[in-house]
Amino acid sequence: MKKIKYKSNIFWILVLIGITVLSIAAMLLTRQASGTVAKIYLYGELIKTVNLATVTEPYSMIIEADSGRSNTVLVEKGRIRVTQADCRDGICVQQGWIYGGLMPIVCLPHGLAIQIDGGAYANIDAAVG
Amino acid sequence: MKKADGTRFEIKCRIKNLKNRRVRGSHKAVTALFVCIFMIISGIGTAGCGGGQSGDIMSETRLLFDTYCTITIGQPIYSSKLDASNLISNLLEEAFELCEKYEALFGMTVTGSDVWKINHAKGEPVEVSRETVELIEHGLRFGELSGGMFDITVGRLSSLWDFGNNFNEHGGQTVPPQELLKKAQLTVNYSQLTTNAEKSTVQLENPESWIDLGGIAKGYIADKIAEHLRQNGVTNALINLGGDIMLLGKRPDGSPWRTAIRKPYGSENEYVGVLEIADASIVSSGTYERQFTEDGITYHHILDPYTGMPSTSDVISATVIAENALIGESLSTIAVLTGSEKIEIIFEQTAGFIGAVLVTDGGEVLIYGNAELIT
Repeated sequence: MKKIKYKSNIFWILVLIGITVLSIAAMLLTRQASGTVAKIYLYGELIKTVNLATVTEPYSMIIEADSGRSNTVLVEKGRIRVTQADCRDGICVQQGWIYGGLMPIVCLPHGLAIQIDGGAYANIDAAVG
Repeated sequence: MKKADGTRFEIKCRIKNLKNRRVRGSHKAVTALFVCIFMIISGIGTAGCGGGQSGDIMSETRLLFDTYCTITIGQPIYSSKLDASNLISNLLEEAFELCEKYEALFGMTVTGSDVWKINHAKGEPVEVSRETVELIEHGLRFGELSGGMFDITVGRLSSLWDFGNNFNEHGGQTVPPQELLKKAQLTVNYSQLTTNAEKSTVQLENPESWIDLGGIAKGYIADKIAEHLRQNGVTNALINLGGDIMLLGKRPDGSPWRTAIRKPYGSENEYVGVLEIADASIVSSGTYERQFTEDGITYHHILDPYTGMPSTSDVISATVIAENALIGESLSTIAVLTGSEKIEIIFEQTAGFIGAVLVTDGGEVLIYGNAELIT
């Protein structure tokens, strides 16, 4: 009887060790992901979230504004940019890649904004200039 | 936060049930140890997922004044952790309402705004809000201080250039015709603008002249938001109106707010350095903010009232630390207009100036006053 009880305790200890290890793994994965998540907003509304940490192959997507005009967004591991836009000033294309959470890409004529949460400059509260 | 807290609570309950049903005898202590480790790890994990919002700090971004505005507010004093969230949410809403209120007063193109009324009064005095008079009087003071380089009667010129909006049939921006520029330039003269604080009136003596408060309005609004938050017990806040930053106190963890200065014409993650500041404003002006290129020449939005053309000084980026954002915004624009030499005396003569970081067209980084740049 005692032997069975002992085995049962060992089993539950192993289960708890397993849960602990899984918790640590989940925590680390969550932290990594939260540092490199790009959020795409159209007219202030979140329309897409891209986990840049898990991108293996670069890919493009077209974001269409209400006016029928569009921006082409290129996604690579850890970074994102606008590659083509039929807006009038093209500032969003000129801005190039963004990696961190400070300066969002903004295409005012199309109401598009791309912001990365956290990233390399997560300990900075704001940027000027 | 709520979601994260909910998950943690659920895990806690499951462990408790396992413990009650299965675990017995001398290994109870060992099991309890693992339970503790697990609970601690779950706690750390959920705290890490908190992002920009936790029990005592909240942040919100909205598109206003053609730019993104972010306001971050820490827990007000005299509030408990329980009611802090509601209180901060209300304060965020009130802060953005102030932005809208002042945009409706100061917007040059907003029909019926105080500025619109002044510009369409055909030389007659106009009754406007107390805040409009206050802001115009500040603009006039800086006109004097800068020897006319900073002139709020630049409205005809700025609307002629109309950076970011004035497009030709090919979808590009274009330089206005010289004859129109010359005509507009003749209407720029801040000495023809008078205010009467008692009657709360403003008069543009030249009926053709227009005022444009775009160069100082955001700073004034950031200060007004800071004042409102302070009156409501907020001691930690970051008000960022598209790069016009007003900092209240320090970060909620007691460390100073960290603001990066972007490298002019650099990519998003290229910085000149970082400023660690508490209880002050940080405002930048730069030639790279709004610009276009025509026939190989780049034209930016900081206009020299004496030439009617974009400024050609050696300063391409000016970041000013000041007691309030209104002073910071005025001085940063004046620095781009006057250049790195003439601005030194203006900095020295201005009450409320703390320090500045200027970047010249040669790539030099110049430090003025009490500015410690971490590179």
